[in-house]
Amino acid sequence: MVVVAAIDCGSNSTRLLISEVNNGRLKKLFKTHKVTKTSQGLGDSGRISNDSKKQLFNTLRNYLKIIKEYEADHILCIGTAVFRDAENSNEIIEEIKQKFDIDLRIITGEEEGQLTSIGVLSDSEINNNLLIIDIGGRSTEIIYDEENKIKVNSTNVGVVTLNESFLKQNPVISNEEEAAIKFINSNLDFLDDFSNRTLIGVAGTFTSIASIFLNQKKYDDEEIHSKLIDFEWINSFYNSIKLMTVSQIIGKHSSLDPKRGQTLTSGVLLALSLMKKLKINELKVSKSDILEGLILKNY
Amino acid sequence: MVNETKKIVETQLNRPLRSDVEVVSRCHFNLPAVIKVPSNLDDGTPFPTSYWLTCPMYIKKVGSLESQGLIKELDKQLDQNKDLYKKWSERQKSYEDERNKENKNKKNLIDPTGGVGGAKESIKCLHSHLADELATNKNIIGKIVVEAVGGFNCEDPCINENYEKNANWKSKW
Repeated sequence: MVVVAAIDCGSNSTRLLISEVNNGRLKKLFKTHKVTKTSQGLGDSGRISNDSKKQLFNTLRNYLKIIKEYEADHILCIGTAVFRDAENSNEIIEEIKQKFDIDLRIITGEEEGQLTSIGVLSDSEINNNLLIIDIGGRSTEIIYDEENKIKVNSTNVGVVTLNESFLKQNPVISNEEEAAIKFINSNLDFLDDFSNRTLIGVAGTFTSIASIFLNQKKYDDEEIHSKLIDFEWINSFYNSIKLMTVSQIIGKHSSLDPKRGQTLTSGVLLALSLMKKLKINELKVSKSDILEGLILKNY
Repeated sequence: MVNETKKIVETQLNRPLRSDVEVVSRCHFNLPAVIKVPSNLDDGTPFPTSYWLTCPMYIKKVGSLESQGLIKELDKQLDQNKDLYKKWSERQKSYEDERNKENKNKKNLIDPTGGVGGAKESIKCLHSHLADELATNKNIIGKIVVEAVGGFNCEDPCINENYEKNANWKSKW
């Protein structure tokens, strides 16, 4: 038995899972996330800003303390779209190595999807006719199986990208909404009809939708796991939050991480557009994702 | 109805109000969270805080953020971050303008001075910035405070049906 810590440095949030691994089975010891907004401003400058770097480093410092408390044997750390896109990724990775002795490895969108599928399948009864969507800060992975192989389509649309370039304000104004939908659809052109598959949604946007759907006062990831939510509910939820200010969204939905308030509307619009495009009527949410996959792939 | 509202707010704040008020933001129990206060109270006293936080849960949470040093931290950010400073000072100005418009046609009243909550150089009070954000969606410091305090999460209302303090009410941090 080993104890392994997995850290996912994403574009919007930085997440940690500490788990026991025993013969390819995981037992979760601790899981948390922090919205570090690592890619904030990246669209304009092409760089990870000093403020974002500070947030990320504070979070990693805090995570290291927790990892020590759990006496983890190994740390696996990955970086996704924000690290793929930023000019100064290598400098930051070097600093992380020096400051925290953590090796952050940048993974491709393809690998991101593969790891996510391993995580989801470890905790789900489905093993064929698969369709997993991971909405991230700056990319979205669409993962499906074809002839017994896992295929991944990674697109450069994420909640932060949408928020910074299109849906810049809440309440949403209609020409910004139209431009956002146009942009999303132009990035989803390659998608086929997946109506015979069950859509499994992972990561912050989908888990937040499920938590709000269940009217949770406090976020509880055991309760959201495998919950089914239909398109109509998500559609009417979008129509309600698009008329609200970010502060009203945060005020009304106490289980939502308040730092996700600013990107929730973009995320829900993206989820809806994907479901429309894929002709999917129902969403199933999974609490297991890339973090579980990262550990299982390596142990 | 106006009297009922006033009574509820007085109970939330634990003191009599010195003017009529209008509720501009409510919580999930439909209780007042922010009220609009006139720029001069009934006795003419100038009152710089146009939006006053009344929700006991938020008051408590913001109080603990203040005691953890968030005002100082944000003042420092205003010093270092030009964009943040610009947004903050624009709202300081528009808050003062909006408030002083109220008295345009009234005589013998002294206008209150200062921006949000009467602040001049420093942020001074996070409660008034949060209240302004919840009421108007225009306050950049208030937006940061909302992200720190999160949503209305009380399990029981703070006021019972007789407009008294609910003995079972507890706020969770």
